[in-house]
Amino acid sequence: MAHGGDILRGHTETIILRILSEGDSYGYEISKNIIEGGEGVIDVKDATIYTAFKRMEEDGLLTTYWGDGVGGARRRYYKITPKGRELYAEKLAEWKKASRILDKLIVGGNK
Amino acid sequence: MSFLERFKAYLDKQFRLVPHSKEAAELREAMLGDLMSRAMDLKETGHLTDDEIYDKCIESLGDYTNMLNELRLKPLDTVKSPGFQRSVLLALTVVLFAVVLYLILGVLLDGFWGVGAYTIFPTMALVLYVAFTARVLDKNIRFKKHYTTDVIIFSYGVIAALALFFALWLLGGISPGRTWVSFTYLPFWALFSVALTTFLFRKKKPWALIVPGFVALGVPVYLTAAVHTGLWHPLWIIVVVSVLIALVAAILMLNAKIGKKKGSER
Repeated sequence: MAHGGDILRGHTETIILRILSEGDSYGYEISKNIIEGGEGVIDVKDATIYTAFKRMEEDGLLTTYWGDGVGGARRRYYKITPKGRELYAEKLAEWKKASRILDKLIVGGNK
Repeated sequence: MSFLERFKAYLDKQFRLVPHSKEAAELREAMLGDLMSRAMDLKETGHLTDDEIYDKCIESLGDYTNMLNELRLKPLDTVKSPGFQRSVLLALTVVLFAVVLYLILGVLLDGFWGVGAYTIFPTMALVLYVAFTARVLDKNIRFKKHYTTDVIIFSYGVIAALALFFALWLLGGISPGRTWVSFTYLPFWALFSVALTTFLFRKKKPWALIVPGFVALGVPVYLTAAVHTGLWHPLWIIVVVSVLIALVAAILMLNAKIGKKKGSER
């Protein structure tokens, strides 16, 4: 079975953009979302998420703001920008095309 | 200790070598917020102890050393920081003050141009050097990074030996044939600088300084006394006595330490 890192490689930013396109979120909620959606195969560490956040913020794909947290600590929330939404739409189209091609090549049965 | 306090202590330790910046402070606070959210979430499940929750939260962070290293390597930010800019301005002010003082005294006092050149400018250089290295020492101690601490402490000894040599010769009227002894202190000061950095700053065992401290003190005292009196033979007893005092003191300290350890084991 593939490791979480192999499956995620190259797609972390797209997955984060998808989560943020559904609503603002913070680091722990995003990693929890990925781990739960990963059906026990994917285990993403916070360091991976923070590295992606930093790059995405520098590229103008998301913005941040501080919100209430729990136990006396604030949460840093992330919000997708219009540029982020555009990129997500492009990545989604690319994925659908690649997925269709790979499905045909790997699964076969289309002759 | 609450989760908040434990996570804060953990992050303080991880960020201790990261210079203060807005980016570092925000990352640290975001990490704290996420750690707390995860801990409260795990707590609600009710089947983990606080220690297990803490360990799981820290494990979930993964390897973020690259992120911390990136925060450390910001030379441009250092140049832009108000602290650095203030230091440069202060250094320029000291240089300007020295030049103006030299010019004024040179015009007002007869024969000052030569004397001023070798008094005012070395003093200026000394003030700048001590101010700069004191800042580095302060940083080394705060961030527990001692690559340069012993060298800086040794350099202060070199300055002190030079000052003593010229003070005894030019102000005290003692011939350089005797005042040269100031420079023989330096190897012992070098030994003490290394011992001070190792035992006091790195290992936090000040009692371990007793032996090198007495040796570093005893030998220069012997050399000074012998050069000035010419009694090289009987005065070597000073070195022996200083080593003996050091050993007795070390034994007493170790004994007290063992006694304390024994007491805490009961």
